[in-house]
Amino acid sequence: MGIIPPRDDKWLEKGLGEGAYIFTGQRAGRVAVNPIVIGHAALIHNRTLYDFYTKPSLGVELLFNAAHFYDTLPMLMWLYAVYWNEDFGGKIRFPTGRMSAPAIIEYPYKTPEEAEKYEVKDTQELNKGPTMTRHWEALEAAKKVLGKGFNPYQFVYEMFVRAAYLVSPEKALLWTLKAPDVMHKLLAKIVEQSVIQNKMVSDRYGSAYILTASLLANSQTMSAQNCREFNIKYCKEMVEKSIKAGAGQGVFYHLCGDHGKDWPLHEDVPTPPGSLMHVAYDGLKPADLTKVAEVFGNRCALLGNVDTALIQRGTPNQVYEEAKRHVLAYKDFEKGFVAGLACECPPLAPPANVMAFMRANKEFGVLS
Amino acid sequence: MALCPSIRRGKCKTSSQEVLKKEGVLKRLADTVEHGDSDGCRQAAKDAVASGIDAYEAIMEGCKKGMDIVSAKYDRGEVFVPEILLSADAMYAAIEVLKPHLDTSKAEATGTVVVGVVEGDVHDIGKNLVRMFLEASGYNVIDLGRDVQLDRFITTTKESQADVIAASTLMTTTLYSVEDLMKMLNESGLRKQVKVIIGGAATNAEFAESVGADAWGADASKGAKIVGDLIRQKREGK
Repeated sequence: MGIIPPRDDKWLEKGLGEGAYIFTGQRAGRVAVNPIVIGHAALIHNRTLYDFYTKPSLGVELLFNAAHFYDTLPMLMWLYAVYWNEDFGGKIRFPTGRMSAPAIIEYPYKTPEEAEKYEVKDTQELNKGPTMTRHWEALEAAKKVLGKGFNPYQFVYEMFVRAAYLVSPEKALLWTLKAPDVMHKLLAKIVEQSVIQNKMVSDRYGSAYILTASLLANSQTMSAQNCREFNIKYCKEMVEKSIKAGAGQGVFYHLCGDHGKDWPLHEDVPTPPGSLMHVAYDGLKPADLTKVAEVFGNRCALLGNVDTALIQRGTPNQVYEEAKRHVLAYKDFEKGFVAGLACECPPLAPPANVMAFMRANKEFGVLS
Repeated sequence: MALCPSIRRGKCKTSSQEVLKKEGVLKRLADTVEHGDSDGCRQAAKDAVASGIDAYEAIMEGCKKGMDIVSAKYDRGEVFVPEILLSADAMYAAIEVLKPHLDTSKAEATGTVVVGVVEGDVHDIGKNLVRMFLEASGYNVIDLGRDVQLDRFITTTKESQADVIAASTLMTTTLYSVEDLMKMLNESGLRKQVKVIIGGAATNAEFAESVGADAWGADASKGAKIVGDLIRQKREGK
């Protein structure tokens, strides 16, 4: 490989220790930092995003090295947003040119009648599919580099967006009115499918950290009531069933985009130890996490939400000041605060900005 | 109900019954678009054609009015994207009927808009909504789709002599594509001839200003209205 330095066990132990409070609830010396570095890890190594996403083992090594370089929480999660589309007959394109992540170019189902034919795949079928093939490779690579700090995960994502990845986002949204029964049937099957996917990782490694989300079902696209009806209630059901199936040594709720009106409706989702609640925006601005903490602060740690546009386009000084403001305001949440960005660290974010983000959190994230 | 003043003076060739019928059909078009009733809207469009109502008028005084109502409700947070998509579905059902009867020169006279999601980004719901609102307003819309190579914006704008480019991106990463598009427009000398509006979740008014765009659309509905303003400004030489 050449550019990937050997593992630094001392650093790894320190990093894992810093992040342990998410699972134990016991206060650590300083706030852990997880700016959700994914594709950015490739570019700071002068590797392509195409390589990062088509070679999961390489991707994991790049993530590990980026975590070491920036001194972030070593919570390595190689994944891409459009998981599971290909397994059901869709097509994705891996990033070339200006693309920053894999994207769907073909949806498997075009009509409600076709969508009704969706069949839940069993473990054997999923194992043969492209998504799990890549995911297993990433997990094995993460296990290798993290050793005892390995945290197996499954990326089941948002229930509604998974339906959208099968029929297209526009049709999924339209069918909430035009063919709601079809959507509900599809979503129920996706829940069942997700439980199987979480169980697969749990069966192999003990338990799976569940990565779920609210993404397409957000306060800009749907009424809060429909966010609940077409996503949140299914998300809750999926997590509850997955925990019963042996998964859920923590759940990451990534509420991506504007959730100003619907985030409180997540109040009764399960939050086992190790869970992280991540509410990104309220309208155009990062959500006020002190309000989020009123609902979730005594149940799980909250992940920070510094604006990703600032990380990409701001100056290091601006990033530093904003990160400082966030960490000072949020670091004392009852179950902990993990400093972070509102979404994935933009692949093209200037490293100087990410370093400024880290510096502010180190300087002001010390816990008394 | 406002009747044609000429009817009262007895000079209008259109009878009051015909006017009432016409207004009824146009109202049905608006209502069915507003409520997303595709079958009803298609039938109203057929009735418009059968009644001899000008197809362009049917779109502008019927369908567009329905979309305007939905747009206003969306602005007030009373409806969301699914309702807009449903109304657009109904509108397109009517347009399918009306299109063969359309005098296209009228649409061209209102302005041409090139819309597209910039290179590197494939998220196009917002762009599609903008297109729907613009089409409902009678503009000639050239939809380049998503992940559009930047030089296609340039060549299409040149070829079509478009009045406005509406470029969008949902992703922070592809903000660079918007910046590069603006640079390319400047370098090609085209910038003086075309107004530019940008939109999408990754953008904001400050960003639009920083890259030298003429406007920013906070959402599809507002963006489409601003396009109308930009075209008027351009026509007035501003």
